[in-house]
Amino acid sequence: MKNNNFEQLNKLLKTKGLIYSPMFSVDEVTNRLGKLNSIKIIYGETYDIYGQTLDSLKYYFFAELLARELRSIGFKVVVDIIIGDAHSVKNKIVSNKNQLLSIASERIDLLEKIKKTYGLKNNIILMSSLMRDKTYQENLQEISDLFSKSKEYRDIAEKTVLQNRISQEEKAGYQYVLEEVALILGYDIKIGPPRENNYDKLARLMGKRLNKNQLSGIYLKPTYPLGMKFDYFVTHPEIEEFGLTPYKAGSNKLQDHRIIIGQTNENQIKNLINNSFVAKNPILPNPVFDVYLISRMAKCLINNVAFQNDEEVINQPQELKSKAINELMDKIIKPLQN
Amino acid sequence: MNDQLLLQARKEYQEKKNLGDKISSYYKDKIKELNLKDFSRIRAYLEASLTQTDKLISRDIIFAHLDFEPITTSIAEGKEFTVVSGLNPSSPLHLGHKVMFDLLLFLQRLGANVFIPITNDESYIDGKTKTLSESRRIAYEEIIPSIIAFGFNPEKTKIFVLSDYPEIYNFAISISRNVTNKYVSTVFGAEALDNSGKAFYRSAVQLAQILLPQLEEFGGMKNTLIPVGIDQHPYILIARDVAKKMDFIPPSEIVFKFQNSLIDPFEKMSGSKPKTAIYLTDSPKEIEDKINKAFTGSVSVLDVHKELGGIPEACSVFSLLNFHHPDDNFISDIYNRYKNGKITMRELKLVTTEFVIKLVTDHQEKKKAIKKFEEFILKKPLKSFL
Repeated sequence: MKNNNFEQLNKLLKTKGLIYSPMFSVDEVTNRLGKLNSIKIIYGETYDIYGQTLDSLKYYFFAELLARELRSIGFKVVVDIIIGDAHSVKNKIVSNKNQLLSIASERIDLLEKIKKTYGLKNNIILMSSLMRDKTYQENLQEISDLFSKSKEYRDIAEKTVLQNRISQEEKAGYQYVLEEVALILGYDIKIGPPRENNYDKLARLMGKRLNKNQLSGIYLKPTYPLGMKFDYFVTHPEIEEFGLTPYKAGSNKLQDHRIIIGQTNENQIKNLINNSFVAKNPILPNPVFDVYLISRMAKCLINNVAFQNDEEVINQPQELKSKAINELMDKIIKPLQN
Repeated sequence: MNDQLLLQARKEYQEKKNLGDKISSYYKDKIKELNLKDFSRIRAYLEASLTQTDKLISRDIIFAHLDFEPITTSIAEGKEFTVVSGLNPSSPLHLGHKVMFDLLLFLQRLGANVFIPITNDESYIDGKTKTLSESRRIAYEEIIPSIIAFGFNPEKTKIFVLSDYPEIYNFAISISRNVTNKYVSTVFGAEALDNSGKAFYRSAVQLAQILLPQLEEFGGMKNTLIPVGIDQHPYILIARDVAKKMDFIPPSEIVFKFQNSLIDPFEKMSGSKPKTAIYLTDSPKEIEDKINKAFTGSVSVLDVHKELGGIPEACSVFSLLNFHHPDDNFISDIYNRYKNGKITMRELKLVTTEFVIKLVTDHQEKKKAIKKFEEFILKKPLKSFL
């Protein structure tokens, strides 16, 4: 039985420092959700050889907190976390394909541990197994047919790839993009970084033509490297705008500036956080606040309470750093070590 | 009150508002026209990172840049970088010059080594002084003590008067083959070449000053920053081209707004037009007279001013405070009160006059105390290109 109390949901969706607001309208989502009884949420990620990033946890935790709020107002909610094993090796420049495929099971083991530690109720699904699913294959066929006839779709697909990879993707018929769209078709909410907006746009347009569920995108703020002074962001405007790929530690070869679960030790964490640029100005990148937010989400999940932001701490850079280190160690690093 | 007078005051308000809008959009238009980058993004980072910034940053007086990013790396890592900015000595320094020197001081606090060429050759070539010796005399008697009085660190400041540092001309010769007269006349106009001195100065001597810190004698290639007014931007373009040809690092540029002329806020304060400027040599009486006669952003009928407010953007009096008063909160308060008609022009002029007189007389006192400045003068021989 649904009720009309979206207050806590709205609060979560307006969390400062977490939600990338320019691409997202709470009203749009709540209006659409109001018409549904059950909601399917998807978050998908690929990975690389460097391990499980802390930044992935932001998405797992947010998906769970969102699901809890939706359930509390009467929806049936399913959360699927897709591990893109097949897509992780799709890129031509990936040389260690076998190694990558083999670590999928390690990744799933760690995800199961994360699920258990924080009480997450999501499903973990390997992309490779999903691709064998009949519905997925039918989706892929239908959207491939639509795609081949539309310049509009092609133009959007082009925006999902880097300039230097456009010709390679064109030759491949934008297969990666189409598989991604086929995957998310049929879901109601997709959670991801803002840079995935164009996949979702394509899924919405094609979904409408195929009478599928209309996808709402919820984009979390971009992921930034730790241990960087302010000049890094000044000299890398593309990172400032789009961030790093949250789920790939080696994104932009910055694996030494990420927290990797089970690998980055306490001293390294302290160094990374203490040497990070921290701004009071909320429009600027703030990777330390991101660490703090993720740790606070973990705390709420462990204590089974609604998420409460602590945005005031952004005005106290030293306190923020200290709180980020302590909360991260207590609520994520140590619990996952055991 | 006379309706005609009220009508006229409202018309005057609209005209001043249009002027304020024109001044505000001038710099935005220049960024687009000259393909510069807006400084606001870097400003946000500097304000977030530095324990203390500067009024020139917080008030958007530095409004544009070209390739400033490498300088931020030097600032962030506490490494030295180099700034070059000079002037030609044809009159005493005025408050417009002070804006540039405030900027150089701020950059020096951030780690910059500052080179200040005093281009007395240019003053003579451009006909601003009757003789070369006159411009040289102004440089030593007036300009250099005044610059030092701003408070530069002697270990990180090098001043040179061009005609007393002939090495620079040798370096200019070594640069000269990289710049054609045609290129110079395209950038600056044909008048830039109307005597042989101008041709050599614009095509080579000016560039030698900018590239000088990258010579081996000063430690070799390095990031160099040139703060300029918008009218000097073409020099930077030529310097960047030549730097690439000669395997130097192309200089970065930051562009600051002009201190408004006292009689027309759309124009800049100019040393050769005494009515437009407050000189750092002016007496309190001269300052008071100039401010009393300055163009304001307020209408002439008090009731209309109280009703509609003033236009700070079109006010040469407010501009004096905005460019020089150190307290951001004070400026913000005056701005709002003036804009809302809560402070009259008479009150604004009184506050401004008191502030500027103190600013200038303090400077004059410091300047008087400067007895020698040998430690600031650059004498290093230049051989690396010979």
